[in-house]
Amino acid sequence: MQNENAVTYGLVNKEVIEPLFKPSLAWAAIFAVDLLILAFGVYCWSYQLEWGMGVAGYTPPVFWGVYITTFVFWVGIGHAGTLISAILYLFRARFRTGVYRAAEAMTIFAVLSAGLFPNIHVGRLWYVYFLFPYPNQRLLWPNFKSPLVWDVFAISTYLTISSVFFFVGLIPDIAAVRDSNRNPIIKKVYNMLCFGWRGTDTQWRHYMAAYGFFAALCTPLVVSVHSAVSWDFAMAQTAGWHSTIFPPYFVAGAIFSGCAMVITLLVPITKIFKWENYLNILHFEAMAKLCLLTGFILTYSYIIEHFIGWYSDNPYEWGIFVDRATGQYDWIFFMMVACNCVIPLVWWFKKVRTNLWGLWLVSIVINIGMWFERYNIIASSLAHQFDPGAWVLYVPSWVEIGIMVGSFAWFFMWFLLFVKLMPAIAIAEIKEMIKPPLSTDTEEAA
Amino acid sequence: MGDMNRRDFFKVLGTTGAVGTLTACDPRTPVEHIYPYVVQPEQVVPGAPTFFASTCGDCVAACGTVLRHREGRVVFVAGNTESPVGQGGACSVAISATQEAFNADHIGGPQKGGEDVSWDDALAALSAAVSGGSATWLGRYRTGALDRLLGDVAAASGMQRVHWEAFGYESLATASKLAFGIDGVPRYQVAGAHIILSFGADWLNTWLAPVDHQAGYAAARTHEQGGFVAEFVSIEPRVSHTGTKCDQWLKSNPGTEAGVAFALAKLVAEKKGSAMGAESLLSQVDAAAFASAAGIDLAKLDVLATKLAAKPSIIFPGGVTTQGENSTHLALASLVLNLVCGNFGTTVLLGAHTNLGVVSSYADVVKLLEACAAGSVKTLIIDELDPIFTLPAELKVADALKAVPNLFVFTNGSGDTHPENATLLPPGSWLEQWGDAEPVKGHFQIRQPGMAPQHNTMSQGDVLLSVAKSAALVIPSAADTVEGEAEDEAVSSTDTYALGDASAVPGFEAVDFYRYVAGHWADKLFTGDDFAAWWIEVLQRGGFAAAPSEEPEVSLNPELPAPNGGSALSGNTLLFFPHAHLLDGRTANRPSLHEVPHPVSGLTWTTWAEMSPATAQGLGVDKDGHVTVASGGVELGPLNVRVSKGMPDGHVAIPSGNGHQDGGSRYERFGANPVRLLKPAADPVSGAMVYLSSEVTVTKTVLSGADWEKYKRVSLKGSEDMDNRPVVLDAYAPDVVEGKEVELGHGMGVHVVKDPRIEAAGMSYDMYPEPEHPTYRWGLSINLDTCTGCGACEVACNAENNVPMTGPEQHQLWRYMGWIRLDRFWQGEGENPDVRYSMAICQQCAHAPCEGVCPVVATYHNLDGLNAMIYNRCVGTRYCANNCPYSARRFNWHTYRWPEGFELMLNPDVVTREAGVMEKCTFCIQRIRHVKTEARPNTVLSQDVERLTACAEVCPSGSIVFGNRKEADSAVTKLAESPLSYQLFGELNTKNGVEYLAKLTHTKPHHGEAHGGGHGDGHGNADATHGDVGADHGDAGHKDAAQGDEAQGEHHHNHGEDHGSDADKH
Repeated sequence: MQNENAVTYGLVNKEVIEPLFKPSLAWAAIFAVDLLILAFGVYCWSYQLEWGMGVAGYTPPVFWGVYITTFVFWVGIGHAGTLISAILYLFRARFRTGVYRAAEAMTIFAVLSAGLFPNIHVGRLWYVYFLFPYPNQRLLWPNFKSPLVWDVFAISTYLTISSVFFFVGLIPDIAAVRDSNRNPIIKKVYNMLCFGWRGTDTQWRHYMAAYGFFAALCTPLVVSVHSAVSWDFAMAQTAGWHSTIFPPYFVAGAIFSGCAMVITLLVPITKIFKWENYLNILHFEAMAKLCLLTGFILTYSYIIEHFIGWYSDNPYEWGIFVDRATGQYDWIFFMMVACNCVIPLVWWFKKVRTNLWGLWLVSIVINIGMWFERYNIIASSLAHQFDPGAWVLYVPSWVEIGIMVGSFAWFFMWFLLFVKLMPAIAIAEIKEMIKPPLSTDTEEAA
Repeated sequence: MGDMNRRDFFKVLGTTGAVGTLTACDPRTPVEHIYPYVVQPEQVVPGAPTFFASTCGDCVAACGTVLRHREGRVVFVAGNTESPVGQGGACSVAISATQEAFNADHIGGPQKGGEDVSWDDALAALSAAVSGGSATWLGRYRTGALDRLLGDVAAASGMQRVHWEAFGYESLATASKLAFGIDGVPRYQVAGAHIILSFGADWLNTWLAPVDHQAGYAAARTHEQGGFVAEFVSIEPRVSHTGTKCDQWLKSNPGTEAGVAFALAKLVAEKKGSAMGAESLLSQVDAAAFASAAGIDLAKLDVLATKLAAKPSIIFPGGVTTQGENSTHLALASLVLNLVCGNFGTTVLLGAHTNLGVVSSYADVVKLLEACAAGSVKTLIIDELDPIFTLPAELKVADALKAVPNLFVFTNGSGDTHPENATLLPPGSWLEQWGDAEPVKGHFQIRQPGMAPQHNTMSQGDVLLSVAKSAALVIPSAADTVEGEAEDEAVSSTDTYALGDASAVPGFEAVDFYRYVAGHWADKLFTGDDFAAWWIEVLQRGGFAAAPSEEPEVSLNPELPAPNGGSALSGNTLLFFPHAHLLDGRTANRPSLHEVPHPVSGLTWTTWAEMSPATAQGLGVDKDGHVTVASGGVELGPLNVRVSKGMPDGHVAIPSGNGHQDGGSRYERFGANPVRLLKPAADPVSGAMVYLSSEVTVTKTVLSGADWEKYKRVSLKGSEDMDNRPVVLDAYAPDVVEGKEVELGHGMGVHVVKDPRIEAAGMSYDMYPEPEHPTYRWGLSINLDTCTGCGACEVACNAENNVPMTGPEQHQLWRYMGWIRLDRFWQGEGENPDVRYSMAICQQCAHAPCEGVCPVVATYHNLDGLNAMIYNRCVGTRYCANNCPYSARRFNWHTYRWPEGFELMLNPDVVTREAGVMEKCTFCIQRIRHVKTEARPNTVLSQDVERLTACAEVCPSGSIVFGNRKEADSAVTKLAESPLSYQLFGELNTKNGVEYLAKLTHTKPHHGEAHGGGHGDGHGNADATHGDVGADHGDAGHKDAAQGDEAQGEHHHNHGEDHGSDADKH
C-alpha cells in the first residue's frame, strides 16, 4: 500500500463507494452496447433452439466445438478469483487485498458464463435435468462413471461455494455502503443484504472465523474444479485427450488465464475510478509474475505432451500432435504457442510488466491464447481421430461465434452491474492495512 | 349398464379408446390419432410382416427379391436366396425401389400436356393409335410374359419393336452372334475362375448381373471354398469401381483394349499350343504392335498369358467406359480369349446364357428418331426409357419426339422424357406389378406385387392387353408362337385354379396381365397335374428353374472380320462411366441413392470430374475446386473435382446419372449430364453407341458467394489413404492358400507389448469385468476382401432403420446419417491400386468407450452383447460420439423430416428420432427381437441368423455374417477364429463384437513397406521388443505373432477362453 499515511478511513470510503449508483454517460453507453451484444447472443441461442444444433458448425465426428471450448475457457477464468481470494488469503499474501474483490466477482460471473454452455451445448435442453441425481418415479440415476456428471457436481459446488465466499466477504462493505448512503431505499436494501451488520467485536470475531473457514473450503476447489473439467478430456479415449498430465496442466492454464483476466479487468477499472491508492503497479506486477510462473508450467505441459506423444510410439497420439502443428489447424496451434508461451515472455522485462499498457495488452493476448488452446485440444483431436476414414474439418458457424461473443457480453453485463452496485475493492480489508484514525501506533494498525 | 356385457364393453373400448385417448405429455410432439384395423384384412396381423417373393424390375439382371410387407405397404426389399440370379443378395437399386413407389413426384395417374386424363381416354387413344398400324415400341429389354405379349401385339398390329437401353449390350450380343451364332449374351460365372480379367466392364457393380457376379467373385476369393484365391487383373484406362478390387491394373491407352485382348489371345494360344479354331483370326494379330499401342509392356502381357494358359479363368469384355468405335471387336476379342483359355461351359456359359429378350442397337434408335423427326412415325410408345436424357444432345431427341403425333410414354414421372405432346402412362413400380422375367435362359422368375398400387397406375402388360382387346387384335397364327407341343394337358389343369379365364396359351382374352402371366407359365413350364398347387409354390418360392440347358460345343465362326485393335485416343478424352447407384439416370429420382456417398469418390448429390493428380495440378485445382468440361459447343459445369490416383493423365472421367434438366422429380436436378458431351457415333458392326470418343476441354472454374455454397461438395470418405494406421489389414493370398503363417498388415499396426508378469500374477489388463452374456453375444464378421464397396449395405441399413436423408447442404458438414460408413482407402499407386474398403459401424464393444461417458445412461450394454440405445433418455451431450474410436455414432442435428410420401416407406418397427438424439447401429435389434419372440420359449436361436441384419441380408457378396459368438459352431465364431480375422484397433482392448477378415493381396509384400514415413524408428524398436516377447509367449497367439500385435492377437484368438476365465474370476 503506497501512501499509507495519506489514505484514511474516510478517504477509502469516499473513493471506493463514490463511484457506486451514479452511472456516468460512458458507463451507460458501454452497458447499452454490451446489452446489444448480449441480445444478439440470446438471439443466436434462440435460433439454435428453434432450428436444432445443426445451425452450429459441427462436422461429425467433431461433436464438441466452440461451446465446450468457451465453457472450459470460462471455467478457467473462474479459477484466478478463488485462488487469489482464498489461497492467497490463507498464505497472507498482502498484494491480494486490493485485487481480490474484483477477482472474486470475476470468478462468479465467469462460472455463471461457463454454466450456460453445457445448456447451450446439449441437444435436448429440455431434458438437461436428467443429469442431476434427483429422486424420480422411474428410479433413474445419472451415470456416476461419466466425467460429465462429475462436471455437474464440480461446477455447481464451485458456484455455490464461491458465491457464498464472495458474499461473506462483502458483508462489512455492504454495511459501509449502507452507512454512507442517504437514499432510504438503498439503505433498506443494503441493510438486508448485510444482515444488519453493525461491526461489533462479536460480529467481527465470528465473521473472521467464518471467512477463514470458507477460505479453507474454497482452497481444494481451486484444484478440483478444473481437474474435473480436464477429466472430461483425460478420461476419454480420444487421442490428444487421453493424458494423465491434464489435471495439473489444466489447473495451471486456468490460473494463467484467470490472472491474465484479472489484469485485463482491473487495469481499466483502476484508471477509470482512479484507485491507484489501492491498486498500483506492484499488485499488477505480482499478478504478472504469477502468470509467468503458471505460463511456464503450461509451456512445460505442452512440451511434455508432445514428447510423450512421440515417445509412446503410438501413431494415433503422435498423429494428433503432428497434425495439430502441421495440419489444417496449424494456425490455431501457432496462436496457442505464440500467445501462451512466447509473447508473455516479455514480462521478464521489468519495464514491460510495470507498464500498464504492457500488462494490459499482454494479458489480453494470453486470454486469446488460452481460448485457442482449448479449441486446439478439442477441435483438432476430434477432427483427426483413430479412423482416417472420418477425418474432417470443423469450422464454427456464425451462431457459435455469436453465442460465444454473447457470453462475453453476459460476463461484462454482470461485471458492469457489479462495479456500480458493490464496492469493487474490499473496504474493510484495506482499512485493516492503513493507520486507524486517532491512532498513534502505526505498527499496531498494520 | 345392465345391457352391456363384457364383450360389448370391449367393443366400445376398442373402437373409442384408441381414438379418444390422446396423450399430450410432450407439447412438442404433434398429436396423432391411431386407428386400429376395424375390419382386419385376412392374412394380415398388425405388427407382423408378410413376405412376398418377387423379381426386381430395375435392370436386366432381374434378381429375385423378397418384399417385406407391413400393414399394406412394402417396407423393405431383400434378395431371394432361392433365386439363381443374385443368390440372396440385393443391390442398392433394388433396395431403394420403395422410393420409386412412394415418391411424391410420382405423376399419380395418366397425364397429357401436364393435365390429368383418365385411363379410359388414354387407353382409347392408345388403342386407336395402335390399331391404325405403324406404331413403334421403343423400350427397355423385356423378357418373359411381357416379351411374349409384345411379340403378339406386334404380330397382330404390325407394331415395330425397338428394345434398347443406355449402357446396353448390343456389342456383346452381336459379337456372340457373330462368333458362335448364339442369340444371347453369355452368362458369367466367376466362382470357378482363378484368374479374372476385365477390359473395363463394371461387372461388380453396374454391368449385366452385378449381384450374381459379386456372389461368384466372393466364392472365387474365398480359399476355404475352392482352395484358391482368384487373382483379378483389370485392363482399362481408368480404375473403375470394379477395378478398385483388382490385384493388378494394367493401364491401357483409351481405345486400345480390343488390341490387348487380341494380343493376349494370341499369346495364350501360343502357350497352350492351340487356338481352338481361332488360328486364322489370331494369325492377323500383331501382339507387340497392339501392346505398344495400348502402352502396356508386352512382357507383362506375357506373364499374364502364362497364368491364363495355366489356370481356369474368366474374361469380361469392355464396359461403358471402354465402349469405343470398335466395341464389337473388344467384345469379340474377349470371347475369343475366353475360347482360347477354355472358359466356355465352365465360367462363361452360352447355353444357360443371359437372356435380354429382343436387343436392338443404338443405331436402330437413331434411325427411329430420324424417322420421328421426318414425321414418318405416327405412333411411338416409349417404355420406361429416357431417350432425351440418355442420348447425345446433338441428336435433338426432344425435337424428334415433338414431331410424333401420337406419343405415349410409360413413366412414373421421373426423367427428362415427358414432352408436351406425350401421353404419360404411369406403370407403377415393380413392387406393385404382376410380371415375370427370364433373366437367364431356363431360369424363370415371377414378379408378384408386394402391395396394392399406391397411385392410379397400370402396368405395361395390362395396358397392352386392354389395347389388344379394344383394338380387337388377333394373333395371326397363334400356333406359331407356341414353342412347346405337349401343352394340351396344361389347358385343363389351369382351369382348376382360380385364374378366371386363363388358358394354357395366353392370349389377348386374358382378363388381366396377372392371368396372362399365369397362362404363360402354364404354357411354358407347367407339366404336372395340379396347377393350382404348383402355382402357389411358384409364388412362394419366387420362380422356377427349368432343367439346366446343355452347354453347347462352341465353335468359332471362321469368317470373322479382321481384328480391329483400335487406336489410342489422344489427350483429353472423356472417360464416361456409369454411376454405381444411379446407373443411366433411371434411379436418379430416388433420394436415398443420392444420399449414400458414392463408394469410390465419397461425393453425394452431384456430378464430378475425375482427374489424375498431375492433371489437377496442371489445371490448378484441388479436391475442393470446380471445373467446366466442354465439347462441341456443349458446356458442362461447374463440376466438382475428384483427384484420383486411378486416372490416366490428361483425360477426364465423369459419371452418368445426374443432371436431369427437365427432371420430373426434384431429386434429379442435381449435377450435370455428361451424355450431352458425347458425339453421336455408333460402332459400325453392332450399331452400339460410342461412349469413348469425345475430346473435351477442361477449364478451371472459380466460384464465389452463393455459387460456391451451391456447388460446394465434400467427399464423405475422409482421408484418401490409411495414413499408416491399421484399419484394413491385408494378407498375402498365396500364404493363406498354402496355410502358411499369415502376417496381417505386414507389421502395420500399433505394437502393444504385454507384460508376462501380469499374466503370471493372474492379474487382468481390464479394470472392469467383462460384461455378462449369458446366452448370446451377437457378433458380425465382415470380409474386407470380398467386400466390393457396392454400398448395398448402406442403402439397406438406411431403409431398415429409418435413417433420415439429410441432403447436400448437411453433407457439406459431414452430417450423413447412415449408420454404416463405407470407408475407401486408396493405398497403392500405379499398377497396384490397393484400394481397401472398410465397413465402419458400431463395433458393439464389450468394453465400450461410449457407455461409460454417457451421463444419463442413454447407452448401455445389454445381455446380448449389444450397445443398446435409449433414445428417450438421450440428452445430447454427444460425449459418447467423441469417445468412440470408430467414429460410429450419428447425431440428429435437426429433426430430419422425410419428404412427403416417404413416411409410408418407413419401417414401423423402428422409431424415428428427433433433433438432439444420438443414434447408431444396434445390429438391427428390432429383427433380433422379432426372431427371439418368434422362437419357442427357452429356445436358443442358433440357425438362420447369419443374414439377420439388414446389411448381412442384402450383401451381394455375402461378406457380412451375423451370429452368436457364444455358440462355438456358429458361422460367425468360426470366421472369428480364422487367422485372417482381426478387430479394428484391437489394441484399444474395447473387445469388439465386430471382426474383420483381412484383404487378400497377390502382391508380395516387402516387410515394413507399409510403414515408411515418419514411423520408421518407432516401429523398428517395437518390432525388436515384440520379437522378444513373442519368444516368451511360446504358442500363445502364435498365428498372429507375426502380425506384431500381441494384444490383438492374444485377444481374439483366446476369445472363448477369455470369456470363460473372466467369468470365473468375477
